Amino acid sequence: MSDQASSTETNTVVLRRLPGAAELNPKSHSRRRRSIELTLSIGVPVALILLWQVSSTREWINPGLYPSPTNLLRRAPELFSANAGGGMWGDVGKSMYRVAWGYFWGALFGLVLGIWMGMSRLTRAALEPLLAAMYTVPKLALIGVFLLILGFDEKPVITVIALTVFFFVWIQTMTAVMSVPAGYRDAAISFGATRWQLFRQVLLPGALPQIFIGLRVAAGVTVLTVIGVEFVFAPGNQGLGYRINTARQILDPGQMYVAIVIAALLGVLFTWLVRRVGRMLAPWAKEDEG
Amino acid sequence: MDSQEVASKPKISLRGVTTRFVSSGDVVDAVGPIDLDIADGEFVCLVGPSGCGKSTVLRMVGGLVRPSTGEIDLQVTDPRWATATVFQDYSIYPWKNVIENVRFGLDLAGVPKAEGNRRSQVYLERMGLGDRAKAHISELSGGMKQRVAIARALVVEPEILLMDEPFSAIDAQMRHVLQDDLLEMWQADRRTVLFVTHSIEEAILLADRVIMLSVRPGRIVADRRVPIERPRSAESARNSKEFSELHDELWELMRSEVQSQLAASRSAQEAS
Repeated sequence: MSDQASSTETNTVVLRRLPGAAELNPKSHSRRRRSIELTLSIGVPVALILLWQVSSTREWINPGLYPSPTNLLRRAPELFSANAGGGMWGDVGKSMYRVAWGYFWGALFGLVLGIWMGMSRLTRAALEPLLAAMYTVPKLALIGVFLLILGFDEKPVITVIALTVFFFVWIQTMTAVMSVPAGYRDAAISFGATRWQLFRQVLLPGALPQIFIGLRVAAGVTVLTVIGVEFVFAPGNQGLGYRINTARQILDPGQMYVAIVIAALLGVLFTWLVRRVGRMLAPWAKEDEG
Repeated sequence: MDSQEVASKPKISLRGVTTRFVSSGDVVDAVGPIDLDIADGEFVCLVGPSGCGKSTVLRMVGGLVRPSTGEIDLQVTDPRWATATVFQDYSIYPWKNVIENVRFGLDLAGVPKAEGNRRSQVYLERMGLGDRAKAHISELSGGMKQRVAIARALVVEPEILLMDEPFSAIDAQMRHVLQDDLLEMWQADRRTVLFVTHSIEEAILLADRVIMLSVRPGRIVADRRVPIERPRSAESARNSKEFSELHDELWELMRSEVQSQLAASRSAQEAS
């Protein structure tokens, strides 16, 4: 395109590098590219939803199994009002409660143990093989055990969620602390940092961007786990997972879709929140971190 | 070996110092034995082929690693500010701005913030960064970062300044500027400096005394006074006859060291 090759008499070839459209008009070119990207990022999902809408109303697909988006939107208010469908606000509230507490305890223990093990070789030697072995145990499968031990209330549910979150946060935090460049530590030690100063001034800020990657992944996983646990056991028969599961049993796909979409939005929202907090606490992180 | 007369006790004294480390089950001799005295106010450069352990010697003096045998004595008045180190890279913290980085050593010692800022600002001015106090580290070039690192080391007014290849990751023009700055500053306050570099040229430009280590395990193979008078500038020193003579001598020595190592490893390969 912008490179032209032409023969001259002596049979040599001139390869000419010329500015292209992007170089000749950089401002309008970058503006156009941005608007194309934005259009695509909005247009593709919108197009897919439109396709779903048309397919459902034209009955190319079974509208009983695939209710149209407008149909779902019409049903949503009914599902959320307390007297009709049974008050989905209650489900959303309960699920959010479990997300919040499960995440809080799991992240707390994960951070503390991760930092401790990242800083101390001996603690690592003592606990790492044990935790690594427990890492692969499917936490959801433990719900039955916890129900027996802790009783049939929120405790076993929160415990399973916290345990799942814990492993994500622990392993990422430990790795983050260990991978703080040795030069950062050396500088602090050479200026006479105490162990606490080394942690507070160097290891924690140095590891924070990576730690927040773990916290962000764990945020998404929390919502998944909550829904999964609620499939099996939902105290008070409330929660989005419980709602999805009962809707399946009474063959009401509309209700399922609404609950699934809300659960997905919850996950997006929560992950976004953790990301914002990370940006606030670790503004020095590169774009792809934290 | 050097035959200078030391009236008072040397500032830094290494006696029979060696280091060993364990690598895949084998004990490897990395350094020494080394005996070395450095006088108060002396600027000493340590040069040698890569892997000879010159950085290890500096880190031992700075207390970051311990010698395997022997002893290192530092004559200091205040152990807290005995040494400060300028590292090659990765020592300036991206989560602190410029003045917070410079203040770091003072912060650790519990110097009040206002006092710390005032003292840090003085050294930032001296390094030509007076107006960048609040700048983020990510906005600085490599040369500027290293100025911050130097200011951070100087602000605690250490009795011994340790510099571990501080200019080797910096482009050539900026290196010359920083060398001149360092010379000027050192000539003003005559602090004891131990400076590690792989560049013979840099060593001669800066130092009173150049010490060359052999290939591993690093031992002293040369200890030369630099016969160029002070105050000197990098520019004038580089063009002097003394410079080229010493440079050639040390370079010849370095080359034979490296070649003997190559020959040894080649014959070891053939043997196996």
